[in-house]
Amino acid sequence: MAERSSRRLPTGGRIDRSKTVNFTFDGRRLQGCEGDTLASALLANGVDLVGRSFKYGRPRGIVGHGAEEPNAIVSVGEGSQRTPNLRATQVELFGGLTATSNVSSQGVAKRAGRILGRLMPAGFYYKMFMAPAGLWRFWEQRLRNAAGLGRVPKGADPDFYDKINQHVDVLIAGAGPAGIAATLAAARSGARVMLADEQAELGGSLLASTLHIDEQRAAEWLEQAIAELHTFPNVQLLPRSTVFGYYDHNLLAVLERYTEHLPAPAQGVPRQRLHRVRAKQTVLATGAVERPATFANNDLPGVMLASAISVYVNRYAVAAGKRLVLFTANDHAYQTALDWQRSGRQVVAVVDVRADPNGALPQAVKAAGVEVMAGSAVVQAKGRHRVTGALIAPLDADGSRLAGAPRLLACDLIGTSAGWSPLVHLSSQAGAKPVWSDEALAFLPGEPRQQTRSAGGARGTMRLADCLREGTQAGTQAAALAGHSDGQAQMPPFATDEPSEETSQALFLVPHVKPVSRAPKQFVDEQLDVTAADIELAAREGYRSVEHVKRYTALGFGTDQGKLGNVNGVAILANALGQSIAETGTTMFRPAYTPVAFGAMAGRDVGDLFDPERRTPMHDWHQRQGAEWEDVGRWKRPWYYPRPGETMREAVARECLAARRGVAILDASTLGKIDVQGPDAAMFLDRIYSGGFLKLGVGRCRYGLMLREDGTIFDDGVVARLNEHRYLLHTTTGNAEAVLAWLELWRQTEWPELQVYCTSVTDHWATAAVVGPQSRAVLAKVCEDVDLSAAAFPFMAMRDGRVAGEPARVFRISFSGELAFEVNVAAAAGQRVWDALLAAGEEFGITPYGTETMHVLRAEKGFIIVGQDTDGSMTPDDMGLAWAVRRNKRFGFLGDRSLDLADHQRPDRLQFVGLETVDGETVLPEGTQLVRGQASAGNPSELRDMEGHVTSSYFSAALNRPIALAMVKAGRQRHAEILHCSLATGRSVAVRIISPVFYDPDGERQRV
Amino acid sequence: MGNASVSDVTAIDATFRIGEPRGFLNLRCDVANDAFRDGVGATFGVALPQTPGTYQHDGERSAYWLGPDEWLLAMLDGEQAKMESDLRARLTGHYSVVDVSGGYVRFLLAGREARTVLRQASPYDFHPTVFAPGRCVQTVFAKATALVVATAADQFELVVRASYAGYVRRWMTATVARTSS
Repeated sequence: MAERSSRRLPTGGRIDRSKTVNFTFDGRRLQGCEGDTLASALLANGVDLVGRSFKYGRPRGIVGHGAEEPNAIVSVGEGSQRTPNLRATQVELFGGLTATSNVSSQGVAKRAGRILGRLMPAGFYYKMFMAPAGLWRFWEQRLRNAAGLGRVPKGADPDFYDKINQHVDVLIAGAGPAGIAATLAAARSGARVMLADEQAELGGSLLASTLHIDEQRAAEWLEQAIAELHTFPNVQLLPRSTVFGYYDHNLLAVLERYTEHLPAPAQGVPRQRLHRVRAKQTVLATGAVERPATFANNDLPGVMLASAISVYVNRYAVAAGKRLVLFTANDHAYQTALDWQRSGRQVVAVVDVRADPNGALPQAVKAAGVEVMAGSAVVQAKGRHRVTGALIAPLDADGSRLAGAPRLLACDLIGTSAGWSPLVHLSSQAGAKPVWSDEALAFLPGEPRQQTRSAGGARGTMRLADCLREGTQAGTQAAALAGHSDGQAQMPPFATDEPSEETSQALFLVPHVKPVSRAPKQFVDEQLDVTAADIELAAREGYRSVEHVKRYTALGFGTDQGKLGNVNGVAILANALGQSIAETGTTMFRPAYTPVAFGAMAGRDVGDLFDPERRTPMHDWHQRQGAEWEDVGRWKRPWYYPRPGETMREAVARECLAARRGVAILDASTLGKIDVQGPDAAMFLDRIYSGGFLKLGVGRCRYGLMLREDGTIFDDGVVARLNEHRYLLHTTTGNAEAVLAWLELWRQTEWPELQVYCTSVTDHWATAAVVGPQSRAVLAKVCEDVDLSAAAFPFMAMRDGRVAGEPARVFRISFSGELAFEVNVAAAAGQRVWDALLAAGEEFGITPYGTETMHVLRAEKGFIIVGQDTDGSMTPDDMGLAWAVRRNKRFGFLGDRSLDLADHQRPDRLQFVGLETVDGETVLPEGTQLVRGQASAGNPSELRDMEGHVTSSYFSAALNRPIALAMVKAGRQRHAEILHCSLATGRSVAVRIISPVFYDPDGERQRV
Repeated sequence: MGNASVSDVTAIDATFRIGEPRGFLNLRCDVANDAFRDGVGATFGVALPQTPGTYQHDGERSAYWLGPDEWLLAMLDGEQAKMESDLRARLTGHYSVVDVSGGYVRFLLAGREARTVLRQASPYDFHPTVFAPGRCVQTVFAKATALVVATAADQFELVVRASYAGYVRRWMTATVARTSS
């Protein structure tokens, strides 16, 4: 506790000391202040250990202050609301927050890590996959127990998320100095602007800056700028919003967090919102992250980025230790020494790899009485659970070797600054490969491939005044390209008081007394425990491409995507390969910049909104009857209507017998319906369908087969001719959209000379199929203006009339083989007419039936269902439908020529047949394979040779036995032959091949 | 820190209800066919719009542009059958008229943040400078489709395929804080 109070500075920072916030970390109750992040509060409480490393179980502490943090990965919340994989540096503190470190500081990770780590060299996974089979399975189990960066909650997420589409002229990613300046410039032009920043407060580095802009303190300048931005109606300011993805055509994904910083979020507020932003132009002002130095034991808690130390002091009023050794290769980091001293702490020394640092900041630090050790490096951190000292040694002229013996400086904090890495992730996602600059000692954004530009730290510009000017220029230019004003930047003075800086020196891997392979571990990627030795090993083992080395060593593979380690890793690889960093290059970055919850990507499309459910006009009636449902495409169709105590088989048998013996009614509204009009409609259909359509009479119907160009069956249905130039096409329920698209494809691209239009009318009509010997009597009661007699209204005809007073189209078509009338009325009248038909049928015992009975009835007649009995490889002849093909048309039809393909003529093609089980009892499972012989040791080949498979199988109540449809090699020539099915139970069932038409083979019943 | 968008989500200030049925006729024809355009104008009383993504209206009758050769005519429910036969009597040459009245359900959406509801459902740009009264667009709407019509400032009509109406209603209910009927 003494440590805690001494770490929180008495004054300064953007926290509110009067508002204490209670929170829990790994079961410990702790206190922070309003304005803290979880990381700053942990540091203020003296919590140094925030986790153990993934592979070695080494103690790890907080390194950074933002998205770059590799170690402080925590889970926040409890139960189903727990969110894994968050960076403590980005979690805002609130009362009641409960966080756990993802890699437990005790237990499994620690014990297993010590054993595993020693056995896991670079390329461990590759090597295990290549090792003798079985070894990987051994390792997998142990690794899964030991590793991992958090656990996924088991329950459903109780929160909700939503999505919104945005269109802007200019999207600015990042609200640091460059981003704020760009937003101001674009906003003043009148453009529609969005500014998104991942932090709770807009301002970026300005929030921790000690500098002045135009003689104002940076924080005041920022406050004024934001106040001005709030006055523009066309500007959206989105704090707590991460631009995490940059996709083609300037589509960007922004994740906005609404409630995660609130102790008790209001009801009805989404936890997060995903913005899909289509931006005409973008400004990437994502800033830069400081690069750590790579030296021995650099992963000890107490080794931090110099800039992070300053941010914790200046913004959060937390001193992360007492005695600081600052290790740098540039002037910039000297500011941290000044900040630290101002906080009342001791700067033990500044260790600078440069031979003669003499810029304004180094001079100021020397003047403050701090020892500057020039031409030297921190070669190793000392300590067990926390830094207790730093080994310092002089370097030779080019910094590659030690020039003297190390000496130990006692300290508890080491700040490092090996340079800065621009955050080029978004520009890289947008297609621009980062380019190495020897001058900036960094990868800079490549030439933009989209409507975008980078400004400020994101393109390697480090001085505040330059960032402000670049931002202004970028914002002005982006707005102008989006059509707002002339692109001439109105440049405010942007006078700042920042000191000039001398040249920085490259600093990647710090040499050690021992060679890299023998020295204490020099970590490059702390999240995945990748060391300098691992990268050198990969190079020795022959890896050359940086992309391969990444995958071999796992460098940059963590959830932090190697924001800190990648450049050091590339530099170490370049050195090992004896080539330049530019030649080595870097890996491409992919979305997401920081991890995104699946909930945010799903948005509201969960539960009953996951996929639209299409409903017929009579849906609610079916529901009230207790129908079981079958999903057909997106449609909900009644499957069967069980009465209390009835099994499915009993219900279906009852429905089938009603249709065969009395009258039954089916909701057929889901069938696809397409209205085709035009002088060339007949010719169009004659080309589309395999059958002949030129001579179909007005008011008559014909069954049609659509083939693909390869001669296989695409769809089938009944076509009716409504008048001279108008037809109605029926399609299968699941194929309606595909058929319309198919018609439009041929109409628009291949046969534009045909005058014909196609319009979907599926949703317009409600369809009731009245089926059974009594159907005429039922219809006669509610339809007075159509002569329903067989002579006046024959099979395969259609009539317009009124049914129950509603304008109706009535078709005498049948998918059951019984006398049947399909009644079509406008959807809004559907339920009324359905009710009237039921009332009219009551005296005949009219029985509603569902899709299962429909399937049984059609199977009894051997009618195919496209997509069930066919699989996309069947020709009309295979299905016994040669009668529906007319080969000698004037123009031909789609698929016509392909029917002559040699393969389509093979004598052993699968052909459509019926099956009856010899035992007369077993209902075969659909999909069952048919073989010639029974299972026995003596005839393996008979078992192996597949003769075909079952496509449809039911119990037929009308026939009182099971029936099945099947595809069998040369099946039509094999009637009466016995085949065998092996059931999953191991039992073998004998089946006899017969005709697929089980019931009323001459089709008498539908013609009466 | 100011965060204007928080108010967007706490309670979306918009209401919706199901509109009364309308008669709808789908029209197809070659745009170059003057006789057709004039014939429709004379018979229907509203000229066919020529500008993509716009509609014309007069009283209860509207003509929506759906495509370069496709329009949707809306009228009072019950008028569509006579209108179809009147059009057929008047028009000559190659065209298509189809009664699709039963195929659509209308949703009426209004309120200060009605555009926010639209933006959650559709990737189209509904900014007032782009999508002002007089504009209409066929677009994805959540996982269904809709003809979205800007009828007045902050008032919109959605013409949705009837079989998807239940889904759209559930989606709207989940999105819009208050509903009226």
